[in-house]
Amino acid sequence: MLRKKQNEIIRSSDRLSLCFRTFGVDVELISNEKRLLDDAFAVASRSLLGNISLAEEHISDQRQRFELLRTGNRYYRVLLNGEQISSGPTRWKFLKFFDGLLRVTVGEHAPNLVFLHSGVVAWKGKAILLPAHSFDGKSTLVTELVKLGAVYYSDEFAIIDEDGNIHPFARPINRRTDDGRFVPYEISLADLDASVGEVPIKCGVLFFTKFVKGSRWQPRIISKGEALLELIAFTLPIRVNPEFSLLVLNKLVDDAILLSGRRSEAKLSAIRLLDLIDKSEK
Amino acid sequence: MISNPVARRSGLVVQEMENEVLVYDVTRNKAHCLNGTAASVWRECNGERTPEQIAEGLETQMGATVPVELVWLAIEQFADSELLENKEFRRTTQRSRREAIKTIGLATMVSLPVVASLVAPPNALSSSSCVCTSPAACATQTSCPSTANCNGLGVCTP
Repeated sequence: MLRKKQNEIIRSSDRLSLCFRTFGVDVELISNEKRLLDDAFAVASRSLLGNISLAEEHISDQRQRFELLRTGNRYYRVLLNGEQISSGPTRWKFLKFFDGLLRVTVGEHAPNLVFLHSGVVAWKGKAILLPAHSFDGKSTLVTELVKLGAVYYSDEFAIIDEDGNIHPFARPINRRTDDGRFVPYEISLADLDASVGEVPIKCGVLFFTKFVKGSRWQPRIISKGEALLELIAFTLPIRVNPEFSLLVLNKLVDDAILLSGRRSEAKLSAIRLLDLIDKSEK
Repeated sequence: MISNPVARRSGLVVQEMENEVLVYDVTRNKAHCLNGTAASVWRECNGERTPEQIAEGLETQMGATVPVELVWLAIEQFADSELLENKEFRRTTQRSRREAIKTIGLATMVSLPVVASLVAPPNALSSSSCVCTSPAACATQTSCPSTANCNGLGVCTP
């Protein structure tokens, strides 16, 4: 009976909602199904590594409003601030999409922080940033660096504060099988025996790289201007808050070694990268 | 009509670096990186100086010969990138950039002006995620290998 009630679709006039704050962003989740709302909140909490505090309803007019709706024929729709973003018939896919959308939205609107789509590890107290698009091999390289003793910070976002310090966002590492089916799977940090970063650190190396089979290891040093220009493509709040974003990115690259170049196999590339950093410090 | 080049100031976020300038055009969501030479010319485009006068000023600053062709090469790139208030400002006698570069290359040690540009991703989702519920969801994610193919596992894949 209780289960039946939980699954009940609520009339549009009686939608349920809950509000929370995360990374300074106010979020409202709205649904017409109690269980869907509960599941979405559970996804949100895991997605944002528990950086969530429940809040009173309608805490800010600037809140990000997610509507997660189930129609009578088991079809799901997600709207963000009134605009439909996606829809589909498969519940788990729908929640997975919401998971990604939520993080990206928070990253785009977090005040006083810049979210950069980038892998991050620490080596000798300074961050190595690996900004890259999906499928460029970022998580693979992060995994290999961690296996070599680098401290894990993130395989998705570099979260940078106004002083240019990078904060940890240590979600499990997301990988996809390389058998042509691209089946997503997670590598837990425990399985990797990874040390996880706990304190904000400065950027030591910024390396724009992507996997290209058979490519030669020839990273070249790039200028600050080139680095900033490249970073634009990975900066979530660039359109929402370009002034703050560029100020922070400028601080980020200030004393960093700035590199660009293709890489081949991840393990060898990780060894060469750490070797290059060690030699540059001597 | 203004007869001298005027660098655009409105609707831009400018980050000055040691030898370069990064300009973000908030109206077009486009970023431009001006190398040292281009940045020097851009700073001098205040509407009060002709390209010839800008070249003379830069010669004093840089202590090297600066042909007016080099200034024109920068100005043309500013105009193409919509970084001039008077974007119609062009030289009256057309000359190809290749010809201009040949002339400049022989006449100066100063590096050629370069303006590199990049359009910001249309939205944050397009720069970071390849998760999808349907092919339509992939269409908005321009950084994914496919903008049309949402596989059975909810990933926009090649």
